[in-house]
Amino acid sequence: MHPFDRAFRFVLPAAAVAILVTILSVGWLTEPDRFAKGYAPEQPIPFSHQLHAGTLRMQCQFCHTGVDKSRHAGIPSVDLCMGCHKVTKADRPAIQKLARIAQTGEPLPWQRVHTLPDHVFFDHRPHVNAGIACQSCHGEVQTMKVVTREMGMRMGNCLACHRDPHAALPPGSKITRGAEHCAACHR
Amino acid sequence: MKTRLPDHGPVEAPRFWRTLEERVETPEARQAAHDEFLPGAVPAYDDVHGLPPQSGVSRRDFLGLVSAAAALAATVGCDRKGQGTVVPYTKRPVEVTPGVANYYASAFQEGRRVYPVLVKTREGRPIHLTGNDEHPGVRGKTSPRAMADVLRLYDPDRLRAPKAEGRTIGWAGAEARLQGALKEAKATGKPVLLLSGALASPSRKALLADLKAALPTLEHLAYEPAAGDAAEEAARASYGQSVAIQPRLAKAKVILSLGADFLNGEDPETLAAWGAQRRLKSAKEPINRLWVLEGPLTLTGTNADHRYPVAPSRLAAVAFALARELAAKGLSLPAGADLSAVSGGAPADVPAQAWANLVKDLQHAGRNAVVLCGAQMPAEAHQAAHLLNALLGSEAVALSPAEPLATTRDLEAAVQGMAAGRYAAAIFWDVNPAFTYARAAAWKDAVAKVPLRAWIGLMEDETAAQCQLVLPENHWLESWGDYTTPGAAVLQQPTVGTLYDTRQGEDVLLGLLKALGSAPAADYHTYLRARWEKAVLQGGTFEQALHDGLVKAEAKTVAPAFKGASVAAAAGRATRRTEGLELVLFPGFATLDGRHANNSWLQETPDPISKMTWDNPVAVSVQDAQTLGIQEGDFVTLTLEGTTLRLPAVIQPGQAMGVLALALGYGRTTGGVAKGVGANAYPFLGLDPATANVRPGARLAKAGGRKELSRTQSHHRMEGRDIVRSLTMDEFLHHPQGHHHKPELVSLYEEQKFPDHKWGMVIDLAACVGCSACVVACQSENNVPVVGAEQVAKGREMHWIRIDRYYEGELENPKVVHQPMLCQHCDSAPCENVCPVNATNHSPDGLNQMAYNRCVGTRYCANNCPYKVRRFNFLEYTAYKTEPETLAYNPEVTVRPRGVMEKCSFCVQRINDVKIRAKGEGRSILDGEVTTACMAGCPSDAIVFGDLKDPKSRIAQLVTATRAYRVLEEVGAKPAITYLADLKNPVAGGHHAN
Amino acid sequence: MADANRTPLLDRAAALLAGPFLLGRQALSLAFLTDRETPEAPALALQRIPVTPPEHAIKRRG
Repeated sequence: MHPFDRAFRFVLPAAAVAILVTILSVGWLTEPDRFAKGYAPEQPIPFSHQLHAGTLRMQCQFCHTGVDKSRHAGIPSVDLCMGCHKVTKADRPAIQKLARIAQTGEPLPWQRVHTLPDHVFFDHRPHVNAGIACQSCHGEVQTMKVVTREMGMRMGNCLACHRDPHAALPPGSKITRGAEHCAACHR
Repeated sequence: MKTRLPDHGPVEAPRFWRTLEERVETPEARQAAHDEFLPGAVPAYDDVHGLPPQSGVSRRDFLGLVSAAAALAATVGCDRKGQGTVVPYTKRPVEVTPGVANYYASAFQEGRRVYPVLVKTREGRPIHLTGNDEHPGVRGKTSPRAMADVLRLYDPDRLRAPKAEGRTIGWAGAEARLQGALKEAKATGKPVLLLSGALASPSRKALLADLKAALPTLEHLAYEPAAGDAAEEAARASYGQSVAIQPRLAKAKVILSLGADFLNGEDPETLAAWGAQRRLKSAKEPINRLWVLEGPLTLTGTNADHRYPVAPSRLAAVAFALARELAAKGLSLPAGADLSAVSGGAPADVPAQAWANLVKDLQHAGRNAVVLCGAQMPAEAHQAAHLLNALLGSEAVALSPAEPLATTRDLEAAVQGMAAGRYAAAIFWDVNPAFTYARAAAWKDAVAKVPLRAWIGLMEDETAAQCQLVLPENHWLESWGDYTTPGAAVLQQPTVGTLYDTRQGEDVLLGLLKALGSAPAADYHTYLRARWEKAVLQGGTFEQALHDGLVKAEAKTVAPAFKGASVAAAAGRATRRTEGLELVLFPGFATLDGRHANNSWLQETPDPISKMTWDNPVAVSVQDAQTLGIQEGDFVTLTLEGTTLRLPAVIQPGQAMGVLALALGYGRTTGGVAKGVGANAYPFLGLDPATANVRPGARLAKAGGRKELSRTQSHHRMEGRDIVRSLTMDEFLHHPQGHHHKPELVSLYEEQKFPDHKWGMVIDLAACVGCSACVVACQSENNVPVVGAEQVAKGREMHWIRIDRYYEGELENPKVVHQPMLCQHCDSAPCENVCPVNATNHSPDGLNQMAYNRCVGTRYCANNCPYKVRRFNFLEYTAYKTEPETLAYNPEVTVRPRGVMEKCSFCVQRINDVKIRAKGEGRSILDGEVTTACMAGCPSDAIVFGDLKDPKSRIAQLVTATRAYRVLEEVGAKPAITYLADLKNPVAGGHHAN
Repeated sequence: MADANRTPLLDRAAALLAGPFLLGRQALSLAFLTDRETPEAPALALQRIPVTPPEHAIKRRG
């Protein structure tokens, strides 16, 4: 075999694969897992679920009004917060920031903690209607000072519960399985 | 390495970039959409090789280049950031729940027609249109162009701010200038020309009357290039006034169409009546009979029970001969009608036996017969139709007085006036005469003599280019308005706040009124409401009317009386003979008069007859093509009275010999989508309104060269397979399954069990007219991309549902059947077995699912599909789209990237939504609760979707029909869609073909 | 050009290196818009278009 032949047929491809593997593994190792548990970004306003949902015992649906009406649970609008905070703790810098936002109409960019890829069309309604507690997927939010992602929310997590939901369902529920077919979430 | 998000504010969902380019509309990005390879790949390779530039890289070399770069590309493409941001409302609008659609009732006016619609909005944006279900006439249905008009709201070419002499200015300045000019005109007593579209709105009419009172020298012309001057002339002759002629098919047993395309989708009410008459369960039920005499093949012609090609210039003679024959058979002519100029006996254009049958049919039907004439047909033909209806005493047609329309004669007078410097100012509101007037050069010169020219419209067009003041108008989805329709007074309300700095045309007029001294209302909304509360609302509230979109009210009109004296002159003119080829100019299916030319959905919806997209070739009859030696796609020169056009030709089976057909509305010179598409046929229009659209003396010659036609179908024969079935009433009665036997299917696979629901569909070919409303509805609902002319020519159109048009019989006058074809959701789908990554499989409720995220683009599934309904995203059709185009998307459906296969999903997003809502309410799904977009869009109710497992559902009954069959059943795919054979009702006597 | 010496090996080696290099460079330049002028496709294309609710409109159902 011509020496160049050997180089091109074996050495070069091997080198290319080695480079590829290096780049991919370095990339993969240094990338933060965007689905990782424990993801707790800093929020523009230090809203504490521990205080509101825990100590004050506010219902999840009070703020996240969309859960039983729409696919999306929704983030409360600023004027919902101002409903109380026009008066409550109006001296705090965080509340003053909130009030300023409510006044000027500038956007309040919450750092999103729970999200799914674009090709997943998750619908809160059947889960809420089935009586599944928010905590089943979102963790004990009422204990969180900063919202932390408690579940990887990969397809495996969803399917595991869909295949055996009785732990998440309230007692007496007649539901035995969740949807397992592709079109339920991927369309 | 960080990818930087584009700096345009926070977004709800994180941006995962599927391609390297972010949403930047660089010329390179646009070019890259057309290239298979990333920009730079091709020239770089050629520079390295020192070879002359090639048009592409060979696949082998490309793979060599890219494989090593793949790693680099992949790592850069990964999203490093977190999940992005989510931004709530600051002040939540009470009526918006994110994720839940709001519906508003409104109305869309196109020419003289009014379409009451229901507008579906998501997060404040209108995304989908259907008919207003509360309206007693349309009952939830609307036309394809109405459905497509939602795209025009988001047209990037829309003018966003007023302009003067080409520079952007504010409204204050623009209005001041216009008002100044009008005040001056009033002071000097010089006339002002106002050219607008048809007046179908009573409030707008009242406003114009107010304006005329304030400015007595105002001259208003209502101009609709597509309405047909001849129809207007004929109405004035026959009835002494402008008349609206509305078919009432429910009462019609026999219909004669003289080139009238009343089944083409523009009239959902008539289509509903047609569908109701043709969707027969048993052959013993009554059915109507449609006779069509026409030159070019129209959609109505394809649905005829008997069709005979007759040159349009001969239609009048034939129709008057018919009248004479019927009068001889005892029907009484209207007083004063003189048919002495009409020669006796059957005309040569129609075979003798058919003639006799036609006469007999009309005579026997009497009051239940109706004769309709195509808008573009010569005036004499219209007058003959009016006479015949009067003669028959037809109850199947409703005549009512209509607002007069300007004809070319009126426009010609205006041109003379402008050229003579008569006018102080001219205002063009929603019209484009610089494009639609036949003598464009004369128009341009005349208009230049008017001191102030103002234009009010949606996007800058040929007329705006000649005006100093260019004022952007609200889209009708952002506007207030009202219309009168038979059975209800209809309201138009804004469904979204104005997207740009635009105003409603009526508000500009109100500003003028104020400047001229009278101030009827602060804005048009107030004006409209005041009028309604005074005159229209009988006790109800305005809010209730807005909620319904209408107030039911029978319009109290007196049907105009037919003037017998008009007959003699028309009959005399009808006997003229024409030499040479006659050119018929008709409004394009996609463009109408050119106003929709910038709507890419419509440009890509295939013309129902020729299946052409993105072009308007001249249609030539089979015989003439043979004589002239023309083949499909050949370039020809079309000459008429000094005007010559070079354009491609298509051969149209069924078109009458000696007749050429050319669509109007193409050849625009403005508009990102419209520019350069097709050829402008307006210069061929005649200046005599009576024959403006049917022009004798045309010459056609081969010009050399061929154009690759962007046609979605070139089937001319059925290839012997059992795909479409058409039965005569006799066959329906005795052997509805014909000689077809249900094949015995043996399968290796176990039958799949469907525990809860099994979704299926029944499509009744007897009701389907081929109007393509389903195609547009599906495109709107499912974010189906537009690919452009070049790609359509390669067969890469993306429509999930298509109408296959099959000819049968002789080429000179074939029978035509339309068949909507979509994913059949086969129980034993050939596509499911072959996907290497299991991206497509079957759901437990009977759907063939498509998981876009899994698809790697092998295309084996499309290869295997016997119905060829799978569409592949060969190129990146969607990633480069930015606002405002992306605002039209339905957020419930994925926007597919390059490399992914897509197909009809039975609107699974709607199925899922209904399932969840029903489950949440603790009930089962009702029959008819889930409507697919195509089903909801079909005006003749040809498509029925439902649960095959529900014995009480409508579909369960239809599936057992005697004329039911499945397409390509012998292949064994077990499709979930059942078709009901087309029905034709020729004169009993057994002839199947004409 | 047809009569110049053909050096396929050298060409391919150069292409193998130059290709990824050029592609990568193009990729990076597209991903990082720092050293680029804002593209002259109208700035309007990048601005969000305000979608506001209509005034005085009454909806049919939500």
